[in-house]
Amino acid sequence: MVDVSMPSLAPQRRLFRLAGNTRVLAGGSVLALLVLVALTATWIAPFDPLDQDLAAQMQPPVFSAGTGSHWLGADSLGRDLLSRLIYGTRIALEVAVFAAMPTAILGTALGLIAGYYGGVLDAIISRLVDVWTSFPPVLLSIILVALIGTGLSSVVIAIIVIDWTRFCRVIRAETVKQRHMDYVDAAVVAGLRPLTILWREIVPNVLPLAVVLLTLEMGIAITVEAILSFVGLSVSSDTPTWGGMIAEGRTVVHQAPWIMAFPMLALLVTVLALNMLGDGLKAELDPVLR
Amino acid sequence: MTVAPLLIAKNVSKCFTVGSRFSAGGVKVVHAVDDVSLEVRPGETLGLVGESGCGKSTLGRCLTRLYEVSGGEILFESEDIARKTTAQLRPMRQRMQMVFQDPYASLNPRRRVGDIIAEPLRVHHADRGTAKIAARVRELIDLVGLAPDHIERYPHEFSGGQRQRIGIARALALEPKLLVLDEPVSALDVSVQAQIVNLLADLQERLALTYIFIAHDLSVVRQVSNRVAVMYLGSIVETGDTEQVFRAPQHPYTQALISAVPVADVRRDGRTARIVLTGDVPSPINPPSGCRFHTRCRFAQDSCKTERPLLTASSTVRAVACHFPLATPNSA
Repeated sequence: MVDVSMPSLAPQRRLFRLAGNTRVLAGGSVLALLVLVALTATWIAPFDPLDQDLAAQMQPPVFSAGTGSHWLGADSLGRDLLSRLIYGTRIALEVAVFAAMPTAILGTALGLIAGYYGGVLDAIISRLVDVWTSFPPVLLSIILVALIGTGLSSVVIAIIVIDWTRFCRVIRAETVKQRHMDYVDAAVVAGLRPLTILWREIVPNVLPLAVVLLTLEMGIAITVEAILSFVGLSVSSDTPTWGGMIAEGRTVVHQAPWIMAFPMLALLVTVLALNMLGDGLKAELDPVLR
Repeated sequence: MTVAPLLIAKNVSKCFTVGSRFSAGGVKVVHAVDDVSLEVRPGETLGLVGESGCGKSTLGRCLTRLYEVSGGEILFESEDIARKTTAQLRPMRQRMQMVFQDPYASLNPRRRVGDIIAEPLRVHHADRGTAKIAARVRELIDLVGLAPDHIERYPHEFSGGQRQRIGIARALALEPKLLVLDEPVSALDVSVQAQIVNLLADLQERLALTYIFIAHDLSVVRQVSNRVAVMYLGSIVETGDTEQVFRAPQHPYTQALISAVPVADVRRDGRTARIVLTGDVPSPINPPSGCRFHTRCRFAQDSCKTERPLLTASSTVRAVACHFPLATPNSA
């Protein structure tokens, strides 16, 4: 095996072509902006997200009778909403990366093994997935976090433990489909080792699907974290999260609906951007559709 | 002029199981290839013909050991390859290669043509180095009639015929002695079929190749093969020199197959009317007793239902598996 690397276009050219797709461009830009916001939160946030300005309790945003100091208004404890939203981006993105990535790797690996080797391995993995998916996921994650304790790492673990089946199922089906293609037989006749065939012939054909699933999973992970924050099982209450903000805003939704609306909007935009990126990538990564 | 055969198959069988213990009817066994024996001599083209589902492709895949065989021996250059493991088969792979039927499914859509053709070389001649492998790829591209700038392209940019050329180039990369051609032209347009058939004939001459040509198109087989083997329901019913078999079939099934080939002018050809077989091909799960063909045979007698005819030599070059072989015009 002298040359294991996949030959490809120069990376710059590939990036340019990806950017030509509207959905990739739109989704990617929003995400890039969010990453930038998360990284520079300390500098761009106008206030400390935990500072309570009791005079500004439930102050409306600046465009609806606000005073101007708090652009998006303040919550029931007088904390600046914009600053809390900005800091909340950090948790959302951390979850998106640290929960969705391992989930994707674990699920894809198991799906590849089950689909490629078949037999007993497939039977064991597939039955495991069946049992796993028969539990309601939100309930399962709440039970899991309650068992292993709250905190961001628990949320991440819960997402990995629950959501790997999502990848495993889809990747297994695709691997089975690819394994029965003649090009795999051609590789066998050429004398390739089974593991080399899996890695060099099948993985490149399954990977685009995994990438698409990954972007969707990132959205799901952010939502799950928000749900767990909402029920108070995520990070401690002094760390601002979108889910936590929604929970706090819910109690005063009749007096100050914007407190709940802004974090929901942030969640919506982020998940939408991820789904758009996934959709665009699906089309772009297929050499036949391209 | 007795040259040792390149490949000898002795009583090769391949069974598949369908269903599981939990499905209705339980496990069933499909006898896809049933006790097949054949020889392939160096430099010849052996045509393997039969209806869809008769097991000709399965036999081809057994001979290249894409499938595990259920029984029998496969001697390739006097070496039994039927029982070898994947690792033990690797040296043999250099001398026996395969061209697949579907030129779309047989090329990985995510790899460039150059990489597809170089793959076998990278497995077996990694020591040669990238430059030499690249040079060999250019040589192969030229050999099959493609242009050097095709090396950098992806398979989807090519037509069916061009794709099949890529598949042939890949099969030739290791300079094999034997090529198993599994319906190499049946997925192509007729005009392209002729080009590929000519290419294969040309390559055979230049590279002293031996072919096993699997096809259901009898006119193509008649054109390319020196000898043919006719398969029905997993078994060979007749073998012989192509022209002899086509002119004077001895097995009623062969006769029916050949009569079904369209002829441009029936009157001028002066042949008998088409023999239409009635009924369907019986299921290989539960094949008929005795002669497998007796359910559809015009000449079937009682003994055909109980005794299975063996493939017996009717002359030095022909063999037929029938209790009542048809008389050839010469001997009649």
